[in-house]
Amino acid sequence: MLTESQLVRYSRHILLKGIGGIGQERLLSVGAELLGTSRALGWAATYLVAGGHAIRATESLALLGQSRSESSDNAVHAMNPDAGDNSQRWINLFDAGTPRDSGLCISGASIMWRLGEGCCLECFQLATRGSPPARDAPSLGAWAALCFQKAALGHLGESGELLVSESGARRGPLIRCARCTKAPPT
Amino acid sequence: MIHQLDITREVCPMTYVRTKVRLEELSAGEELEVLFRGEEPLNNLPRNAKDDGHEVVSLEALGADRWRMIIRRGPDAH
Repeated sequence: MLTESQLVRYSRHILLKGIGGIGQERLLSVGAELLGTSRALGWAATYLVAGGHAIRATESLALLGQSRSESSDNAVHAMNPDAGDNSQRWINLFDAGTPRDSGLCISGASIMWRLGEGCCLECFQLATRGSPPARDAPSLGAWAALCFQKAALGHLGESGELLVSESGARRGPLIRCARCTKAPPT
Repeated sequence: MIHQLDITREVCPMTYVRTKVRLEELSAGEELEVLFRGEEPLNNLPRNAKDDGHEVVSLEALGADRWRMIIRRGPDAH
C-alpha cells in the first residue's frame, strides 16, 4: 500500500489512465538493471530514480547534475528515497554496445527495442538501418524511462517490439534476421 | 453497505487521487460516498469518475459549499 508521502509524490502519475494506485505500487516494485555508460542511459537512470525505481548499474552513471564520481547510493536516495533496493523484479535497460538477452535496448538512433526470445541484436540492427540519429541524450533517456515503465506494467507486447521515439510513441515493424527467422518457436 | 470517504480538507488533485485509490479497493458494483467541498472538485470529481468507468449515482448539495457524491465502482474501471 502506498504511504501518504508516496500518494502525494506520485499523485499526478496515479491519476493517469491505466496507472492508479495499483499501477503505481507495481511500478515501485520493479527496478532497472542498467548496463552501459551512454549519456542517454544516465538520463534514463535519472528519470527512473525520480519515478521511484531502484537502479543497479554495472558502471557509474552520471545522474542529473552530478559527475559519475558523485553519483552514488546517497545521491540516488537524496533524489528519491523510494528508489531503494527492495525491488521484487528487475528489467534490463542497456546500451546497444552491451547487449543482453532480454530487456530494453537503447540505440544511438533514438530507438528502443525490447529484446527477447527469437529477437537478437542483429534483428535490431536490421530494423534500425537507415534510422536518424538520436536528437539528444535527455530526450532519448526520457523515452527510455517511459518505455521501461510500460514494460514494468506489462503494457509492451511480444519481444522484438520496436519503439520509435523521434515521432512520439510509435511501434515500428518487426524485422527478424535469418537466424531468428529459422529458429523454432518457443 | 456504502463505503465512505471524507475529502473536505483536500484540494485538487489530491481529491480525485484519494477517491481513485479508494475506489480501487472496492469490488465492482460497490458504492462509495464521497464528501467534498469547493467548486474545483465539483467540476472535476464527477467527470473523472465517469472517465475512469465508474457511475455517479447521485450528487447532492449539503450547503456551505459542501457536497455528497455517491459513486458506484464500475466493472472494468481503471
